[in-house]
Amino acid sequence: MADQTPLFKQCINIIQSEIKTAQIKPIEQPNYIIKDTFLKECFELYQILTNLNQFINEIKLNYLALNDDKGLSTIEKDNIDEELQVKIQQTYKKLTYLENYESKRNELINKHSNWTSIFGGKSDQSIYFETLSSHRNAMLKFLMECVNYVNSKFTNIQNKRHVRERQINSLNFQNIDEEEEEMDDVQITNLESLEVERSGESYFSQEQLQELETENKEFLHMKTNQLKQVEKVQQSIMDIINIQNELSFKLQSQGDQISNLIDVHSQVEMEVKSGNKQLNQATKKNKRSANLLVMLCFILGILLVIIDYIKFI
Amino acid sequence: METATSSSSLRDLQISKLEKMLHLNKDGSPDLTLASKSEEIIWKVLILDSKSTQILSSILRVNDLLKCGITVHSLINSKRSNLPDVSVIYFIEPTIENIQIIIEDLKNDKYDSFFINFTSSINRSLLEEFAKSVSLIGKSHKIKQVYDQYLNYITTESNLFSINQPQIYYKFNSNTTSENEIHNLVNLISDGLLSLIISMDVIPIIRAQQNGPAEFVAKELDMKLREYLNNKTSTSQSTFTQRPVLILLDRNFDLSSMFSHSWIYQCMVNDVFQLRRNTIKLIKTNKDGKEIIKNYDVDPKDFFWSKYSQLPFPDVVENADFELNLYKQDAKEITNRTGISNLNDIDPNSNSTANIQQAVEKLPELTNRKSVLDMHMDILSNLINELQAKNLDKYFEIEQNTANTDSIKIQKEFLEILQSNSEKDSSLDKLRTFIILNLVVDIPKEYINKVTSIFKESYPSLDLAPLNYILKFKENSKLNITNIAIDANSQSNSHFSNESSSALLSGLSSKLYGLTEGKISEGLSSIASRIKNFIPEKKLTALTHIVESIMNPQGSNNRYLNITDDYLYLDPKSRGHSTKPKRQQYNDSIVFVVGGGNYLEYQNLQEWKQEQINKNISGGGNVIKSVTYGSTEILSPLEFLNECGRLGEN
Repeated sequence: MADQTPLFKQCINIIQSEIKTAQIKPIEQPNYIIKDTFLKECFELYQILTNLNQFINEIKLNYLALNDDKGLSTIEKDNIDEELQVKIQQTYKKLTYLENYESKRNELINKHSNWTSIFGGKSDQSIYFETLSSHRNAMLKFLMECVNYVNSKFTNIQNKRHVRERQINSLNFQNIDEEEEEMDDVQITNLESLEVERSGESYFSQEQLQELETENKEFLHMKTNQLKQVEKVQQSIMDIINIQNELSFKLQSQGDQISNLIDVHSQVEMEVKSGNKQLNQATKKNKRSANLLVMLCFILGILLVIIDYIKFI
Repeated sequence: METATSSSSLRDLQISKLEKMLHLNKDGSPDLTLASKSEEIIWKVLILDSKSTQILSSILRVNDLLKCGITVHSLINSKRSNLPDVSVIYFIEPTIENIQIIIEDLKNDKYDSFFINFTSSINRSLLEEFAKSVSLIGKSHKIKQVYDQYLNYITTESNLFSINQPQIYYKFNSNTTSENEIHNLVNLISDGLLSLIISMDVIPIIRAQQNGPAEFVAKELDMKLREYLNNKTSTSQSTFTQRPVLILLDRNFDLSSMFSHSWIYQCMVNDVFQLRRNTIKLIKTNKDGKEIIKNYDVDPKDFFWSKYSQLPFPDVVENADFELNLYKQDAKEITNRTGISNLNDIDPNSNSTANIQQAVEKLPELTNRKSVLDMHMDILSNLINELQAKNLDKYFEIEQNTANTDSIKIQKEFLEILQSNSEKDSSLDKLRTFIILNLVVDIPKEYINKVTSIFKESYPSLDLAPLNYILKFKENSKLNITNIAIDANSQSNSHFSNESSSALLSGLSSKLYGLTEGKISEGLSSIASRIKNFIPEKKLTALTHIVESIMNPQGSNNRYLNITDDYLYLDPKSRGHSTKPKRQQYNDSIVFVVGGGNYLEYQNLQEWKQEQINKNISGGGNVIKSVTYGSTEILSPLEFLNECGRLGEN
């Protein structure tokens, strides 16, 4: 690879200093060129995405750090989760909005071009619209991929965090009973105080006391189990949300493909229709010209007869 | 500029160069979808011409282009519309026509800013002309970059390249080609090689076969390299690394490998179907006798192809089975974990949602794998059908045994095959085997006459021109070439006992046909593993012997050393006359055959290289790192047969 730009610029400078070229005004673009903010908006979206990506890259270490002192606190992490989720959803919305805009624009043009396509073959305009729509579709696809990438990156680190947290919790679970006791401290103390009160009033035998104790333990055990299950359900819900997200991507991309197919289909249909029209026109023209030819022959024949008659006279 | 690391393959190098170009010649990751920094220009239009399309299409697909931000790509001479707010990248040959089109585009303000890249290098006068026209329009500010890319070659495999000049063998060996034409061709070929050398960023030592096109190309290339070195301002070349050797050869030194049938999967696909720029064209005949053409793309990401394409065919069948089972296992595991067929399966303790999530994540990869496997299964089963229909294994068997079994026996065997009929027309295969027979051993005149008369009788439509050419060719060069070929074969074949192998091989065909009866995937592995034992030992082609004697003179045979000692020695770096050739060891080499190459030689070279590397690991010896193989065009045997046919007609 060799950069020839400096040499090229040098050449241009030399030539321009020799020949004073008048600054030529830019050529006016044909009026069918679409001027809208599509490109700008796409660009902004892309910038948002790159920023998000950068942000994820930056926080990744702190976010994944388990120790609250070093990294971010759990609340902060949750906040980040929420906000990123919202942001990503927003980009999705924006993207679908752009897609809708583009498809509507295409529809409009197609309606319009139905009129123009009657007049002859492919005009510059139709080529322009074709390339523009493929260009924009590719842009949208590109953005879609970006969003998917950012989203998967985010869910990845989110998952990692949850897994780590779960691991830590499970470590804590080994002494879960203590923790639970702590958690249910108030209740337990209440119970105990109740017991104490009751024991003050009524005289329980040692056996009864023991029974009550085992019962209490069972309750406690059940409770911790319940808590665990709740935790699991919570986890499941999180996972389901993720799956939903993923499925929605898949659906979206499938939808893209389907709409692509529909586009192709409608294009083929249009072409077939216009082809039929052309064929009809051609047959009509042929008929007319054949008639004309016959008429001409007839007239010429009569003329010949007349001339012959005149000459004969 | 990055220095070429000899460990990375040529294909990776080219891909990275192309991606960099699509990234507007900037550094950094070219995949913009993963970028964490916003760029100024993201979406671009790519304009190609026919040549650059070939270069690009063999390694990059549309999706890869999209990731680099290319939204629309079109040919330069097609009708394109204005897109005034989009930037454009041109990747074209530096010709006047192309430049004129660019100027026209510039005049009409077709695109926003222009980035121009040339496949090779633009010459000075054209560049000046271009600059002049641009400044006359007054829009020079729109042109942001002008680059010489030096990418004028096509890489399909990791170490295989082609310069894409068709019919070179015919043109160099026909007496109707004018001197001027030959000069032009030599120029084109050396340009392509120059591109390759520059993009690899090495200055090799050139060794070339004397008295032929290879010598012309070598001298031309030497001149061009010297010129390039003179023009290069900074000599940042690290002199410590050992320089590679460029070995230039004429196709004439070994024709037999161009015709031979091979067991290697890749070679077979190229032979039986068509393998063009990594697209396999599969021609199926269905029951009604209609032909269906199917196109399959194989790319660097095709795990099956990159893993198994260089293996013998039965091994590939076995591995296909293995991979399929692996896939089935994975799929089953996932369904087991997530799908529930029965209430008892519900495990209240398992975290099933997490499993579903895993499944969803894994699915794209699995479907991808499945589609690749399906594709190769289809190819393989079709290959087996073709093999059966044409009795290809018989030809392979004879070709393997030509040199070491005594010729009378072989001749008898060949006559038998010649008279036997197969399901499909195999006349061309017969002709190819006969040509090899002719090339490798001396055959009495009466026998040749007899065979040709049989050919004429049973295949009246068959064109025997290639055979005529080969006979003439042999007549002319009896002393030089045939000897090498015989040596090559007798040398390598002495490794294994010939009699047993031929007996084994004949058993192979009957075993192989058992395969097609059942489905390909069922119970195949056991049969395939048995077949594996029948495959004869690997032998080296004449080309590999020559490369060996140049790269590793100590470990190679004297005969080849004598041949290669006569080769031209050119060193573009040395001033004045090149020094006397000496035997020297080289670590890296680029092998280039003028007049067409084939996958057989490529695979043979790669195998040899791998062997050398293995030897090296086990202890001592010469360090051989890379062998790159290239030619003016990669041909299938039939295409080469046609070329010879054209030569025979004259």
